[in-house]
Parts: sequence; C-alpha cells; structure tokens
Amino acid sequence: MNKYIFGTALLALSLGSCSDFLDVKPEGNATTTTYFTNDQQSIDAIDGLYYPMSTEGMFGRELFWEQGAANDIVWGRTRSYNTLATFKYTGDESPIRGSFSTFYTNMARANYVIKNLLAKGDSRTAIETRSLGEAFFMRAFSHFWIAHRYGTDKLGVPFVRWEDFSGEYDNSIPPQRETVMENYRLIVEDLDNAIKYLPRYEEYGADDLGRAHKAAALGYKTKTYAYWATWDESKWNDVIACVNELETAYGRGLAPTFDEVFGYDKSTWWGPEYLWTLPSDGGATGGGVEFPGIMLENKGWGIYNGWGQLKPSNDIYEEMLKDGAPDYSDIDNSPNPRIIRSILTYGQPFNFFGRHMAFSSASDIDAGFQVYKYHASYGASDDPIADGYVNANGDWPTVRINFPLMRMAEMYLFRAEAYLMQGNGAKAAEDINKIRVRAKLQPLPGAATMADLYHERRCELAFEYTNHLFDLKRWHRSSNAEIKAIAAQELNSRPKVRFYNDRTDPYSDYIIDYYQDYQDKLPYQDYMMTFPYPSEQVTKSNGKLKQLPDWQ
Amino acid sequence: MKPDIISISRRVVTLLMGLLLSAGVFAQQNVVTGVVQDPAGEPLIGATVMVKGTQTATATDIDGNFKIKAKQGDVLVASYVGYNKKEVSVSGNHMVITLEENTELLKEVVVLGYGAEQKKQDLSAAVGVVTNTAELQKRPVTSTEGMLQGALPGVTVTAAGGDPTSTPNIVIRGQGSQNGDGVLWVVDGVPGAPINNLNDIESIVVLKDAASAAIYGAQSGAGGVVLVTTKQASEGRPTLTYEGRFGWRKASNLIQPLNAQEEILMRQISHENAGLNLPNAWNATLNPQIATTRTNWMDEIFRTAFYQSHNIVLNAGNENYSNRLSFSYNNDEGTLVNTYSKNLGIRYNGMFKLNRWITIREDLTWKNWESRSKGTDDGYTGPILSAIWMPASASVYNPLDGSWGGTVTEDPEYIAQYGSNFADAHGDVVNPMRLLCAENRYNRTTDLWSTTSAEIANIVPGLKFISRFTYNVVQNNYKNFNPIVDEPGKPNANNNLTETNYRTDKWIAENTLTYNNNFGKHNVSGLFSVTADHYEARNLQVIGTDFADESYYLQYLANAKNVSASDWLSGPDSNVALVARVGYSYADRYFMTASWRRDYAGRLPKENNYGDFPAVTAGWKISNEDFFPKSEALNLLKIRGSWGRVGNLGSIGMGYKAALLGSDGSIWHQQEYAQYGNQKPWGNIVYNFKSVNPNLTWETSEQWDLGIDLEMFSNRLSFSVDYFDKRTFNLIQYQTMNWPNTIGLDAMLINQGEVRNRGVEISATWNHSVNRDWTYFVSGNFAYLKNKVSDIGVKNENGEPGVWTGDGHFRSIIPYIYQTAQGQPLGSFYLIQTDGIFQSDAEAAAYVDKDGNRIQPNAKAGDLKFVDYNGDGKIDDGDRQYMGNSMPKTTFALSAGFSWKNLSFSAMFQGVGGAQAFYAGKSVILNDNEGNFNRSKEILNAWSETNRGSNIPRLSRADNNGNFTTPSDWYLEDASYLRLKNLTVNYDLTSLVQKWMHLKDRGSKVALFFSAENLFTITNYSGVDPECGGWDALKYPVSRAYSFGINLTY
Repeated sequence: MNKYIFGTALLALSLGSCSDFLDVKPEGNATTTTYFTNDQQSIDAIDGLYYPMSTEGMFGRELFWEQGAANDIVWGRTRSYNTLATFKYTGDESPIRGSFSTFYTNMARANYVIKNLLAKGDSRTAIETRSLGEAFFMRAFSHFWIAHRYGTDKLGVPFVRWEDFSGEYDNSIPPQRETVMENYRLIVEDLDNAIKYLPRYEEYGADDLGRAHKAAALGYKTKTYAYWATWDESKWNDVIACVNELETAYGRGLAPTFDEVFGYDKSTWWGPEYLWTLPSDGGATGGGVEFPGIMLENKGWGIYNGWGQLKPSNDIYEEMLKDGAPDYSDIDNSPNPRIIRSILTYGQPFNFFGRHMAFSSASDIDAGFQVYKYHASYGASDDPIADGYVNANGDWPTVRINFPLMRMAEMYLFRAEAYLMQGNGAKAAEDINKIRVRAKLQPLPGAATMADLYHERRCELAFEYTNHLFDLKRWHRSSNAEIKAIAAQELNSRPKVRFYNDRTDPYSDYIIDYYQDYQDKLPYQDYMMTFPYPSEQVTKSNGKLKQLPDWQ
Repeated sequence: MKPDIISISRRVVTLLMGLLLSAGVFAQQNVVTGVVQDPAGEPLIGATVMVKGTQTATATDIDGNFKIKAKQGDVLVASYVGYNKKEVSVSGNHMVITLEENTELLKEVVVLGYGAEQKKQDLSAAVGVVTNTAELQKRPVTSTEGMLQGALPGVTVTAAGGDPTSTPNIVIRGQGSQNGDGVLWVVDGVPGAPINNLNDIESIVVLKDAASAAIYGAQSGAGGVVLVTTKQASEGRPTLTYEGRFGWRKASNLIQPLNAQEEILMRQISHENAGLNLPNAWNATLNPQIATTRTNWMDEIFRTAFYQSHNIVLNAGNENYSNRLSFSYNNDEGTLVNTYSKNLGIRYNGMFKLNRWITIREDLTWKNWESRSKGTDDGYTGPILSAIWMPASASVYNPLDGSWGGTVTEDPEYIAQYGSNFADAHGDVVNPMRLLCAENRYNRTTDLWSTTSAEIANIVPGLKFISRFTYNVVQNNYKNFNPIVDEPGKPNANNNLTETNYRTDKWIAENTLTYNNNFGKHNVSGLFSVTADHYEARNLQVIGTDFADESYYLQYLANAKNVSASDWLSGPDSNVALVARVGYSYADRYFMTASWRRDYAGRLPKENNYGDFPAVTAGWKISNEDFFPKSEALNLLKIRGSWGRVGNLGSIGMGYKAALLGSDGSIWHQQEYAQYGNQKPWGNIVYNFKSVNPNLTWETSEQWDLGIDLEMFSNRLSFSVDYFDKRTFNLIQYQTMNWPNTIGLDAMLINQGEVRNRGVEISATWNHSVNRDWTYFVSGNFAYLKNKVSDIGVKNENGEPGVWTGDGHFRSIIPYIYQTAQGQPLGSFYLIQTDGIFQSDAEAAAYVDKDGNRIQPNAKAGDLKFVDYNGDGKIDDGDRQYMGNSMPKTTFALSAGFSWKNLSFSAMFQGVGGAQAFYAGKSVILNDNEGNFNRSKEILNAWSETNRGSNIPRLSRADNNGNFTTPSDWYLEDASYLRLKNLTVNYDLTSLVQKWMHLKDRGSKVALFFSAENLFTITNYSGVDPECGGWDALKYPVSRAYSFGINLTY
C-alpha cells in the first residue's frame, strides 16, 4: 500500500507547493557559472580550444584545398568545389564554410575562458594564469585565420571580446570591424596578453610540451604585423622587431638540418626552430593531423590507406630545381637535398613499410609527384604501424610528426621581406642565406631581391599551412612592383603536371602539360583576396554581416 | 504414510465422490434444447448458451440449435458477438431465444482519457476510432503505427523505411512543429506504456482535435494523442487462444549497380568527357582483375526475410475476479542481411473486486527485446550506398584466406605479374557485407511496467475515485566487438569492444475523481485529476581497445590493452499536472464538454514552468429533435464543433534550464586530438556552447474543428466530414535569423512563429449484410491538408518578414536545401529551378543575360540549365525559389471487402498526393565526379549526343557546371503514390471443428488467413520507394510482405 500513501502524499504535495519536486537538477556536467573551481577544469577547457585544430575540417585537410588556386599543388582527385581553385569563390564551398564556423566557435569558447579567468584576478593559480594565456592565444589564432581570409581595408571581420561586457555576454552578434587593420590591432592585443600570461615552452614539463607559449604568440604577432603591412607599410618595423626578439629573448633559430623539422624522433621535436605545431603521435592511440595520410598515394600502393590528394605541381618542382638537380644514386651527398626531402618524383627511391621502392603513381588524375615532406614515419621501420609511427586506423591516417603550423624559418623570411620592403637587400640576404645554408644550398651571391625572397619562401615552406596563396594575394597588393609582378604571374597561370607514358613505370617518359581538372581559372583581381562569407551566415546575420562590396 | 491417515484420506475421497455423483444425478434430470436466432428469425451460429451461475455452457451449431443440461427454473444466458446478452428462464424443453442486435456502432463507448468516456454517437469532438483491429491484426505489420496507415483520415503515417527496428512516423492533421509533433501514445491510460503484441490491442482512438487532446495538455505533443485500449481480463470460463503468423518479406525495385564491364565503360566515358586521362587501374589489359563480374552486391546484402509472431492468451474470470495472461514472441527479420528485431513478452492483467466499493486492477508487462540494425542514410558507409559503390569485380570473401574481401585482390602472384593490385582504383569504399556482419553484437533490453489501480465507487451514486500508480524500469545491455579490418588498401588494425548498460526508472502517479449521473433528461459528468511523474536514466559505457586475440570467447574487457569508462545521468525530469473536465448533455440532443489542464514542467526555469490548456466542445444531434422527421434514410444527423489547446513539452529537452558545459572524453575523439609532448592523449575536453533562454515555453497548438456525422439507410452508410484549422504558435526552434555562426555558441532555443494547418477530412463506410451468408463493405477516407507558416516571427533589417534557414546538406556535395518563409509550408525546399538539359554547346552558349554575358559560362551540351530567377546574370543562392515541402497535401485510402459464409476477403489501397522527396542519393550514384566508386546502372542512361531524351546530366568526371553540386530541383521528385497496401483472405473453420462435440461445447474457434502487404505501387518517383519521408539518401526500403496465420480459441 506504500504506493497509495505515496500517491496521496503527492496529491497533497501538488496541491500545495510542488516546487521542490519540480526543481530537478541535471548531474554530470558543470554549469557555465559553477566552473573554474580547480586547475583541472581550466586544463579541460583549454583542451576544448585545442581540439578542433587537428580535425579534418581544419588543419587535418580542409584548410588546404584553397591552395589549389596557387600553383604549388593540384588536388589529385576530382572534388565537388572546383570554384575554390578557380577564384570563382561562392563562400559556400564546404571546406571554407565549415572552417569559418569552427574558428568562430573557438573564439567564443576562448572568450568564455578569458572572461571567467580574468574575473578571478589575483586569486588565479599558476595553471589558471597559464590557461588564461592559452585562451588569449587561441582567440588570437582563430581570429587571425578569419581576419586575413575575410577582411580588407574596406571592411573588417566580426569580432567581440566578452570581457568588455560588465555582466554576462548578451549573445549579440559580434560587430564587423571597420577595417581588417582594426582586427589585426585586436589580434596583437590578444597576443600581447598571451605573452603576458604564458610561460616559455622550455618551462613546460615533458607532458605539457605542445601547449601555447610566449614565443608562439610572438611568432603570430610577427605574422599579423606582416599581413597588416599589406595595408600599412609602417608595420614592417614591427615585423623586424618581433623577429629580433624571437632570436634574442627566446633563443629561436633554425634546426641543424631540414630533415629534423619533419622527423619522427621526438627528442628533436622541441629544438630552436619550434614555434607552433600540432604534435601528432600516429601509433595505436592515433592522435594528430591526418594531413600526411591525405597526401600519401591513393591506397598507398595497396599497403596503407593513403588518400591521394594534394599533389605537387611541376611548377613547384621546377622552382625547387633551380637550386640544383638531385642525385638519387647518392642521396646522402646529393646536391639540393631540400627538393628530395620535399617532393617525390618518378624513380626517386624511398622506404615504405619496410620496402625500398621507386616512386610512381598510377592513381587518379595525373600529377607525377607526391609530397614527401611528412613521409618519414612511413619508412621509419619495417612495420611502422606495430612500432607506433603510423596510425593503425587507415580512416584516420596520422603519423608521428611534430606537424608545424609556424616555424622560425618563416619568421626569418618575414624579416627578410621587411628589409626588402625597406630597401635593405643586404640584410634580407642574411636571413635568406640562413635558410639556404641550413638546406645545404648555395647562399645568395649578394643583396637579395624580391625574386629571391619569393623563391625561398615558396620552396622552403612548400606544402605547409603558411598559406602560399595568401602570400601571392597580399604581394599582389604590394607597393613593390617586382613582387607584385611575380605574384600576378603565378596567380594568373594554371598549374602544370607531368604525364607519364606508363604511369606504373618509375622510369617512364613524360610530357609536361596543364593539370586536367579545373581549367577555367579566372584572371586574378584584387577583390579575390578574400572569400565571400557563407551565404547562410549572411542571411542569418540579418544585415549585421556585410559581404565585401565586390562579392555582393 | 501411516495406515490411519490412509484410511482418513479414503473416507474423504469417498465422500467427495459421493457429492459429485449426486450433483450429476440432479443435473441429468433435464436436457433442454433450443435455437438462438436474430430478430429476423435467422439462426445464429456459434452463440454461447450458459446456465447462469454454473460452468455449464454450450454453443449453437450451424442451424442455431443447442442442447444443454439444465433444470426448470434455471436461467439460461445466451450471448453472441454483436448482439445483446439475453437471460431466459428455462420453461419447456424446446426454447426459442431471440437476440436483439446490439447496434454496436451506435452504442460503442469511446475512451477519452483519464477515465472519461462517451458513446461514439454522442461525441462532440473529432475523434478517430479504429475498431476493426481484429482485421488489421491480420496484416503483416509489426507496429501500431503501421496498423494505422490508411485507417483514418487526417492521420498520416509514413514508413521510415523497412528497418525492422524503426517505427513509421505518424503525423496527425499536419505538421505544426519544426521538431516533429511527437504524438503521445497512451496505453490503457498510461502514457508511453508498451504494447507487446498487436493482438493485445482491443481498440485505438486517435484524439485528432485539440479539444479532445487538451486533457493531456503539454504531454500531448502539438500533434495529438493516440489512445490504445488493450484486451482486458474478462468474465468467462477458462479459454486458451493462440494466434500465429508466419511470413516473408522481400525488398523490391532495388537499384542495380553496374557490372564490371559496365563500370569500366562508365569510367572511360566520364574521363573522356572531362578531358582526363584514364588511370592505369581502369585499363583492363594492365589490370584484368576489374573486368570480371564476381559479385552482385545488391543481391548479397538483401535477402528474403522471414518473420514469425506467436501470441498465446489464457483468460478466466467471474464477476469478482478475472485474470488474463498472454505470452508473445515475435521474430522480425529485416530484408538487409543481419538486421532483426526479436521480442519476447509476458503480460498479466487482473481484476479483483474486494467488495462492492473497492476494485483493484493490476497490469504487469514484461518485455525483452533484441535488435540489430544498420543506418542506411549515411553518405559514407551506408550499406546500400556501399553495395552500389563496391566494384562488381570484388568478392565478398577474400579467396585467399576467407576473410572479408576488399575492392581488389591480394593475390601475390597477381601483384607480381601486374606490378600492383591497383587498390587506388576504387576509392574509399568498404565491403557492405562486412559493414552488416563483421561486428559481434549483443543488444538486449528488458522493459518492465507495472500499473496498479484502486477504484472506490458506489458510495455516492455516480462518484468514483481511482488512484493509479505506474512504475517502469528499462534495462539494457549492449556489447559490440568491432574487429580489425584487413581489407586491402583500407586497413584498420584497431579492434575495440564497446559495452553499454543503462537503467531507466520512471513512475507516474495519478489520482482521479469522476462523477457521472442522470437527472431526468440531464446527464452530468465531471472529473478532476492530479498527476505527477518522474524519470531518470543511469548510463555506463566502457570501451576496451587493442585485443591481441579476437576469438569470440576472449571478447571481454580483461583482454583489452586499454580500457576507458564513462557514465552519465539522463534526466532527472519531473512533471505535475492538474486536470478537470465537465460534461453535460440534455435529452440526447445537446452535448457539451469543457476541460482545463495546468501543466508544470521541471525542465523549465521556475518562473516560467507552467501553462494552461483549456478546451470546449459542443454537439447537436438534430435527428433527435422532435421536429426532425424519423426516417430509415437518415438515421442520424449530428453537427459538432470544438476548440482547444495542447502543448508540446517534448520540444524542450530534459534539464533544459541548466546552462551546462559540453564535454567529451570519448576515445573516438581522442584519436583526432593532437597531443602534448609525451604521447599523452588529452583527457576530457570541456567547452561552453549553450545559451539558455529563460523565457522559453512549450509549443502550443490551438485548433478549431467543425464536423458533421451522418448515418443513413438503416445505418448502412456512415459518413463524416470535418474541417479543422490548427494554429501552432510559440514554435520552438533554434534561432537562425539573428544568430549567425559568428556568435560561436549553439543557437538558442526560442519561441518563434506560427504554423497553420487547415484541412478537410472525409470518411464514409458502407456496410451491408445482404443475407446470412453474404456481407460486404466499402470504406474510404480522404484528407486534404494545407500547411503554411502564417507568421515567421522575425523581421529582416528592412522590416520585411525574415526566414528560417534549414540544413539538409549531403556529403560535401549538396549544400543546404531547406529554408522556410512566411506563407510557405514548413520545411520548404529552397532550390534553384532547372529548365531541362542543354541539347548543344550552342544552346548553352546562347543562354545569356541582358548584357549578352553567359549565365552559365561553363555549361556544355548535356549540362543542366538553371533558371536565373533573380535575373542578375549568374546562378547562385539568389536564384533559389521555394518549392513546397515533403508533406503530402492529400492522403487517401480505399478499402473494400466481403464475407461469404466462412470466407472473407478485404483489400486496401492507400496513397498520398502532392508529396515531394529530395533524392539526395542521385548525387553519388548518377554522378561520377566524386570518389572512384561504382555507380547505378542508370548512369549509362545519362545524356549524350545519341541519348538526347535523358534527364540525367552528361556523364563526366568533372562537374564544372555544378550539375550535381547545385541545390536544384533536379533532385526534387514527385513522391506521390498509390499502392495496394494490403490484401487479406480469411477462412473460418469454426463450423468444421465444432463437429467435435467437446469443442462445440466450449465454443472453440479456428480461422486461417493469408495477408499480403505492399503488393504494388504506382508512382513517378525514380528512387526505390517514394515513402522515404522526403529525404532519400538510399533509405532502407519498405518491403513486400506475405504472411499466413492461424487463430485458435479453445
């Protein structure tokens, strides 16, 4: 009869006050207002900011398709958004539509952490202070990727700081800043805050390496100033100052060899060239970016699930060839080792899952090359899966690599560019030669020209997320006629590839001709510097997100 | 045993036998014979005749005659289905008992919730009643929703494909909510209670208008309420009933993939048309493997599926207590290999009348089910897509070692001879048989419901108090072992074991006071009820990875290298409601009811957690007025009207009011995480994503209904027409307008906008018993529905009404396809119109804007022509137009049947009109742009110089014109259909078995039946099945089914 007593009690309860009964509280997750009570909570919230970066929608793959509009890579396989490679941008191409939203999600999540940890004031613990710095860094990082891809001097991109609101953030639509320079100013402000709160990476324990650190923030400050300089050349001074500081205050320089930067040996991952990476383990637990597997031969010659996408063009190969032809018979002493380490070409020997192979590629659309920069793990042992170098899951083909998003070599090239913009070719040559000498190439004979800078930047940083296409776009706006002409030349030409007579024969003859897909590229105009905003977001913003005039 | 005890036992036995014998002697004094007949003098076959107060009974034979042992002064009770029970005192040796027809259709009582009920003829609300459940139960359907398809006008049931674990979608009087209307199922008064077996169903009542559903308030969903009454323990001597069905299903109209030779041809053409070199892998000389057809994958993954269903019922009782026990077992195989749903259930139902005031009832249901399914909508690894994509040259099993076959051969000799196995040729496609079969799964759920009620009555005339308490526990064990994949070129050397356990606890308490009494011509009724419910579920998941040995007996966590666990709580959720209803009628002419309900929901913030749901109805039986001429041609004329409101609590998630942080620690996502220094995967990640709207309230639906009921020609024709106007407001949706993704948080739930559904429903039934042997019926229903968004609730910056954007993208190929504007139907397709296919390059070049610039600069002969709707000279989002939605505008069904002597036959046609479906699957089976997959045979019918009539754009590896990536109406197809839904033949063998006296005495019955479902479909839809819910990414198809069954009552 318990039930009936209960029922009767309920009757009384509900006729009186039922508010206790109705006051149900979910369990298991903290609420937004009960968080940040201990260090682990900050750590988990920061992990939430890092997490999206290594997914396929971001640096795993999708952010690289747009490079198809420059001439370093071809896509290798047909895709359904050719307009990304032909400057007929719609803004709705799935790779850029998706990353647009993810960057903003990340900014909002960083905003939440910043607002709450700032509010703690002096009561912040050391871990919380570090977390605050990491949040500032990630907000700036995401903001940076949106700013240069969507903002110009005519109209900036949306951005909001939650800490500017006295109470809770009111969920209003972030205002579109007047110009992208305003965005760059805010990014620099965030990076300065990041530098203030972050430790140097050397201060991290072994288990925390890979987190944001002071030099990484300074690196992005450098890059932000360099992009800002497109619109305001006075910023080149800041570029030089930042790189100087990276050298002097943070001891940044170049790794002893080019190989080491892309190696699987963890003991060399955190050397002088390290600035900002997505450390990837490969191995049984996976983890990291799938980018190396994306670029591997489709189905990995039947051995591993490579995806056969994003292949080098003949153009980049020939550009690299200008530094000397490789000698495959004596690889260790070959001239121009950088080309060997960057690109696989027909007949080139390499190790793959314990096999010694000579490169050929029969699959998909003819290209004749494969990116080799991230390939080391596949040849690391006879069974790289069992030995933990390569992910056992071919659907998520990560390898062991400290995958660079920004390294010191790029900083030197920015400083060189700054010197060149200030007419100081001699100083520029010093920086460029640091890189050439490390790559075992002949140093420049004298003062550097913009053409030297273009060559070096293109070859040293090829196939990295340094955004070669955007370099071309900003150079096309440059006051320097030389670099502008070079950029125009590449932007207005189409990639060529090698067609082999017998595609499975590593020693076959070939002809060079245009890549066969997306041949309808538009002549480049400056408004194509940005992507149009995804149309759905423009609609949803109800007039608060304005398309750049030329994209309307 | 001691001798003295034996002797005592003997004496007792002797005494008992003597008593029995003497009773026998008295009983033998009289044998009464007689006949049972109807008022016309026709004999009633199989009528039960019983001596009142004894177990003595018999049944009438084929001439209506009976013979029973009874003495003078005994009372005989004669009963027959469809006739009123009659008691007659024995007088004389031959008795003629005439039974009056129970004009059941007129007197039938309809349950309306919370103990309220009303005679069907007196209803003033729009209520759909399904009484022919015995007929419907013969159909080879496995869900109550399936049973309702075509049964009632305005109740639109759409199969969600043929998956044995899914149930069809049901929408009552048009969709009012973006989130689905969540029709509430109430079984014997208990919301959400299960139905073990369709044979347990006595009747189904659909509360179609808001006035009748309002008594369930916010629980009812904006859609309405379906009340199911199950068979209850009843008075009578012990009976045993068995119902069994055996049947088989087969998927029809499947898509045929290209064979090996055709795939090569297709690939040659597509490369040639794109100006691309054909990769070596597609040269049959270099790679002869691809040129031989080894497998028809569609035939492999589909099968003839068998199913069976058994139901055994024991019933016994008298007026003070009765018991009913039923056992049921169903095994329902799906047409896709290795998909099934198996159920084992026991249900006990009992009634105990303690004294003249108190009655206790208990309903206990135990159900155990086991199921396995495979989602087919996935654009990457759906098994049906994979069966099209997998090359016909591949084998199901690897001929070398018997493991799962991959796209290419692993034969080392082949690789040595040809230099490669060309694994790159086929892209990222997986063996569909492996998808369906490789995982070792255990998935069982136990669902236990107990409902106990106590009724106190007869203290004050007409007043009754019922207290009812329901407790429900669901427990699930799930274990899935996912082995290593070693298909060539697509290896996954990880294996893993997932184990999940959950337990849900739910209780519902209900205390109801009802009153019903007549005062002269005035009938007054009332009810007041208080209900409360509570729910929570506890979940545990453990994942183990890296098993060194995959043997089935080692698939236990102890053998995993890494184990991670997580647990979580769903809910808690609690609700309280107050319900009141009054009814009044006068002189069987005027009928009125009014009800009011207040709901409190624990999931909403306290200040805003309640809502009121009023309703009124009125009816006027004009035919009972004195001035109305009595005639056989018009037996009943009634007009009725109703107004009410219901809410949709289900549109708000449990625990909504808490602004929780998101978290994810699953090892699946850890695979994607970059890591810190020393191989240390990240643990839990936490993020802020939710914004809580403190003012949120449930969706509310307000509805007017006007109806006319007619009975004509001696009640042979019954006819009903309803007009309704349903306004659903405070629509709950994630804010789209004014919430671009630049905010970075998930959009907030808001109450915004209003949807109107207006429609007409007509149903007519003609029933005629021509004579004793011959009856027939024809019945039809038709509903017309107009759905539109009457208020979008948001303004653009220029003050014009805004829109609700939707999604619906497919892979990375098709962008969003839904958007809704004011005046358009809910969930409108928002697409670019096509205008056929360019028949020549010249025609494509001539398609220019006013300045002479080409509108589609990349178009060639064979490409789709898109309409430049906004006239700006280019094809982009600005050219999208609203193109209706997927909901049918008209639904109709026509049934007819006859019975002749022991044979009965019925057939039902069912269809929908004005429905559309977006056939997204075409983008990957008729298009060779993305992936190196095999395609549908239809792709060879694509447009070419020699095949100009085709509506499939030209076959090409490159899609520069965006034929397939443009969200156009090329994908949108008319999904209207008419199908022969069901055909049933029943043969009653009762007269045959009753030749055996024993069975005759018991009134035993036997019938055999055959039933077939989905026999043929007439449609213009080009996909597998038009009944796909408006979105077709190769859905699990609805199948054709046949079944044989038997009904036995002992």
